[in-house]
Amino acid sequence: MKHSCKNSIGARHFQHLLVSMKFTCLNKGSGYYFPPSYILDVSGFRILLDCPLDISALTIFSPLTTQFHPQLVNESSRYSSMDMEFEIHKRQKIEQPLDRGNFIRAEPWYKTVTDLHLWDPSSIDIVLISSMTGMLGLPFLTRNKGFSAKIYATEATASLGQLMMKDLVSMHSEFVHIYGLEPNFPQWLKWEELELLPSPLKEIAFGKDGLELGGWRPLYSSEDVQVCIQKVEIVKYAEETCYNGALILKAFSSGLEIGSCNWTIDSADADIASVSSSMFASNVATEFNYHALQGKDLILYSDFSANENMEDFEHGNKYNAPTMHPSSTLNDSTVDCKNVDECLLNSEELLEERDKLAFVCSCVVDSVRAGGSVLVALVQPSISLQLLEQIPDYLESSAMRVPVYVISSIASELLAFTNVVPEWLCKQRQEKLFSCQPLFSYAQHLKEKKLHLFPSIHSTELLTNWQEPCIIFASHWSLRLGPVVHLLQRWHGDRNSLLVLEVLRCLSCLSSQWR
Amino acid sequence: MAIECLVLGAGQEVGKSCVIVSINGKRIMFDCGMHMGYDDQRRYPDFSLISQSGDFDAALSCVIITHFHLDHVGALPYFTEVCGYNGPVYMTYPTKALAPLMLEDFRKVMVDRRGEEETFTADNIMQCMKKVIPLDLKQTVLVDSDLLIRAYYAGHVLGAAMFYAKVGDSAMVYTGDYNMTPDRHLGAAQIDRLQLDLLITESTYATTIRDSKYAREREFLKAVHKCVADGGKVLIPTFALGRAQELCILLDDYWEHMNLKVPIYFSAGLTIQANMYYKMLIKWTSEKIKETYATHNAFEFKNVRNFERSLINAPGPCVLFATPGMISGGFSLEVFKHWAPSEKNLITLPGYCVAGTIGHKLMSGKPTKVDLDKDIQIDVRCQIHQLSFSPHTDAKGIMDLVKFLSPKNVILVHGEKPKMGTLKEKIQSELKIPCYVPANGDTVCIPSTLFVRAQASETFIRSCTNPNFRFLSSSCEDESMSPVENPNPISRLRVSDERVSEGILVMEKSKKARVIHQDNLLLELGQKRQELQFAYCFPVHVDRSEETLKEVPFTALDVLGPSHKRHLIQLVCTKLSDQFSEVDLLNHGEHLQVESFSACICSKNNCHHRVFDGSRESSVSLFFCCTWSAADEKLAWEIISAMKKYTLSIN
Ligand SMILES: [Zn+2]
Ligand SMILES: [Zn+2]
Ligand SMILES: [Zn+2]
Repeated sequence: MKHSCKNSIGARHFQHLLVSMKFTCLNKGSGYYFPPSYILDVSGFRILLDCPLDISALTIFSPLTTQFHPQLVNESSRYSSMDMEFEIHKRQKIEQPLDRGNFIRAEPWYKTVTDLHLWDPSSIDIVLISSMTGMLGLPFLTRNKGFSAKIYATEATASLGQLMMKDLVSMHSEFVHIYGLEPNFPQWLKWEELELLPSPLKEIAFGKDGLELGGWRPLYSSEDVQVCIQKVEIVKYAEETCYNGALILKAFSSGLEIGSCNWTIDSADADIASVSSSMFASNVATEFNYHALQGKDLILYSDFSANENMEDFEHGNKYNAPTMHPSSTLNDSTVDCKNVDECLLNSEELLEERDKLAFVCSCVVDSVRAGGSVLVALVQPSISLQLLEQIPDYLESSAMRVPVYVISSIASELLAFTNVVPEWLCKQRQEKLFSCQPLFSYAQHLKEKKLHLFPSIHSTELLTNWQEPCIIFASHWSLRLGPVVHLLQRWHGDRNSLLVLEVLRCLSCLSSQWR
Repeated sequence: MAIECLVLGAGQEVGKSCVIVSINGKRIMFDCGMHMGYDDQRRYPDFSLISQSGDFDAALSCVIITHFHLDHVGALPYFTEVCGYNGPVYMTYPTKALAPLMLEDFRKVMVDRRGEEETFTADNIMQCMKKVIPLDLKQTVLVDSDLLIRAYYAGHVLGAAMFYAKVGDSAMVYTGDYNMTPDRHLGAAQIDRLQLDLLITESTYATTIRDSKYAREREFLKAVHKCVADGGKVLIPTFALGRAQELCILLDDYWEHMNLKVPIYFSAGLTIQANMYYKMLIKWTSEKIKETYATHNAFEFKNVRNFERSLINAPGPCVLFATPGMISGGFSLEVFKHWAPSEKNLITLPGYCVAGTIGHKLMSGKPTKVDLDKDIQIDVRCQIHQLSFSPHTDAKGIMDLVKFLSPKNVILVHGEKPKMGTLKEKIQSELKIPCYVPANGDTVCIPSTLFVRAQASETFIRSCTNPNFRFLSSSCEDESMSPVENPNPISRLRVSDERVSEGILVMEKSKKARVIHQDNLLLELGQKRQELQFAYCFPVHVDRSEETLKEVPFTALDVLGPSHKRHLIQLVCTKLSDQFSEVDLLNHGEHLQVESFSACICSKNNCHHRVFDGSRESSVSLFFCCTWSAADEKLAWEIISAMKKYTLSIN
């Protein structure tokens, strides 16, 4: 049993002395894989929101060339790429194309939120996590000696985040295998070496203003991950957590991903809502809870990555925002709540997502029909999960029998996890619980042997089961880590094969390795 | 304002749990159960007591169901679909998933086996469940702008919850059924330390204190093993969900461990469906099962198979789980009829059976015959083993919970009247908390809380933050430890800082309440400081020598010269300082002083403060006039009574 805390008179009173809060943007964010992070000083407490890793920065490294025969054929495979909008990107190359030799051949380092290192870790009181990608950089923070902040994440986000970190550490170990232990300060990180990089890669390494070099870190260990996860306090949606008798923190579903959330921070000074990237409706995750934003004094919208027209927050700028008093926009709305709910559920977003998934599925079928294989590399689990459900059905209705493999160190854990979290899913999936059906239909595909899970590309079961053409789901990691590297190497010369990719940065950097 | 608590069911009994609580204008129904022991209108709570007009939507803010047992949810479809309640109904995700199974099972037994007219249909159950809003644990849910509810883990069965409800400043917890110790597939109840006006708790085992669970499990396994080893059949009447899974895990493990091949059967086709649910809801089970779910799902039993009716009279030993529990009808009754007459067979009964069921009849004494109805009688020669482990908390657990929550009032429900009385006495005498044991139809009223928000003054807050250090040197308990074992001998000095702040609560009409520091009080009130002073004039005996008589005229003791006065004061001072060595005694010549106490020789003839006691003649006495303030009252009287005994001499 645990003590619950109640606001004491004394604590509440003290906060009256502080009437303004301070907002400092550390990283403006660029989509689901790299959510924005910022520092919020409120009522005398320092709150850090999200601590991600820039996965896309991995592109400056060269992937491992494996014992697989490297066939350097002309570009012939078709790229159907997906970004947040699932549009097909056909970017024109501005410069001359990059080639193999341009990439750094060394054990990769990882790019964290650069500006975070300007802050004393011991000065942070609270860390709030909004999604699983928002916690990938946490072990860098928690292994600091002075770090003692309380970290809050939803139960589902913490589980997914832990899985993803585990996957990262296990994928990365392949490099350590090849390159051996690197010195503390690797050769490539030297100024002279970096100067030689082609400009797109240089920009990734240094940042636009040349200040981001300090953000690079060698990867954490699995022990670091363990220690980090133990420090995370897990909460449910709408669970009230009282910090130090002064702040009441609550997580509300943001609709983006299983467990992803927006936070509300209530103090004696002001009630604040911090809204991260959200989706009104989802075919997987619990619906966006906008009721939670009602009656707040201040709403911080932090993620405009999906909407470039919005005002651009340059990071590093400080805003001293005096807290407003009850006059929030949602407060005055006179719209009937029920109607709003209905609008949101039938929102275009959802229909658009459905259309895009259907489009991808039909592309997959086309490739397979032409005798090619398909490689699906996505960051966001909810998209992969839906494709895992739908692709076997599409194949079946096109009367094609092609195996679907998921190759990942966490494949079986991830799928087992998604079938035991009804509380974190959307209404339609909860209905499945109440009518005693598996929450995701791939449970059935697994049973019928249409879908197979393998921990790695080298597992013997995979080799004995191997059948081509096939459809393979592998984790993204900017096409630099794990099974995706080997498979691309195998199929990139096949004009009938298809790569379904979530685009993080400029496509030319990501894929030119394979030209 | 008062909290009003109307008990519609489970008052001084177990069955049809249903309590209506009115709290600051909101009205909540906790549980909507049915009674397994009756098949007339007594089966359901008397809903007409809620609303004469039958407009339940207006009468109730919401319905909260704690878990899927029929004595807690059995009347819900009747209440929503037949009585027409349309308002919100809350229960946890597992309860919403599993309750319809229990209800449908019960409905079938009612219709198919007993041939009764059903009180609700399968469609009613479906429609009813559509109205249910599912909850996760700890989720804070606003039913409306004033009523807040929250569920806490209760153990007992999958998805069972205790419910916290708060309206304004009044708050309460309704426990439903709970277990304070973890079992194989569920964790122990867990709740925050809350400020409560009222706790309504179950009291099934109001007087039982249980020993180790391990011993009780062994006892059960031994009985089952012995029976099958002798070729007997074991009947375990149970409901499809709950105990069945717990006992299955237990038996499956034991079978595996002992390498037994005797078949274990499960009667209802519900097993597969139930397992499916348990697998999806694995996060609601015990820590141990949760940890391993990705590799091994504990609800996939290796040794358990489905039972066919034809196997009832098949030869050879077996173990059979048959529904419903307590042998209240259905398949378990059918099997019971066949197996009860043989002394080789064993029937295990749960720790608690509702009055009116066959299970209850078997438990009361050792009957050799049981009446099924007017015409049919069954010989009972089989062995009967009563399971002594149960998903309910024992008396110690109830006391622990009450103590932990320390509510202002306790109401006991869901128990047997005499035992509840004993527990009530215990709660009142040991924990000093008023406790009530209402019967069905009774209403209990208790006062509710209203917090007044008081503003604290700056001086008061500053005084609160003043440290109040006390330095204690802790005794060296571990002196035996050699320096090697204890390489880091930390200083033995302990510092305690128990802050004590004194303030004054000022509540004036039409003004906000404030807490201020005592130093600010006079300023706040616009008053001057008033001191309370005591005065007393009393005689002290004086011994006059011949010489002084000559020197000083007899009548003029009151006009003693200053030198004489000083002399006498000095005398008193000397005597007092011998007697009161620890006080600070000051001789100011004309008067003496200790703290606020001051004494001088009184030369007035009619002093206001003089008290004549007549014991000594004034002629030989000298009067001392004393004043002191209230703080030194005790000291003053000690000095006065000492002085009264003195005899002073003037020479
Ligand atoms: Zn129960
Ligand atoms: Zn009960
Ligand atoms: Zn006097």
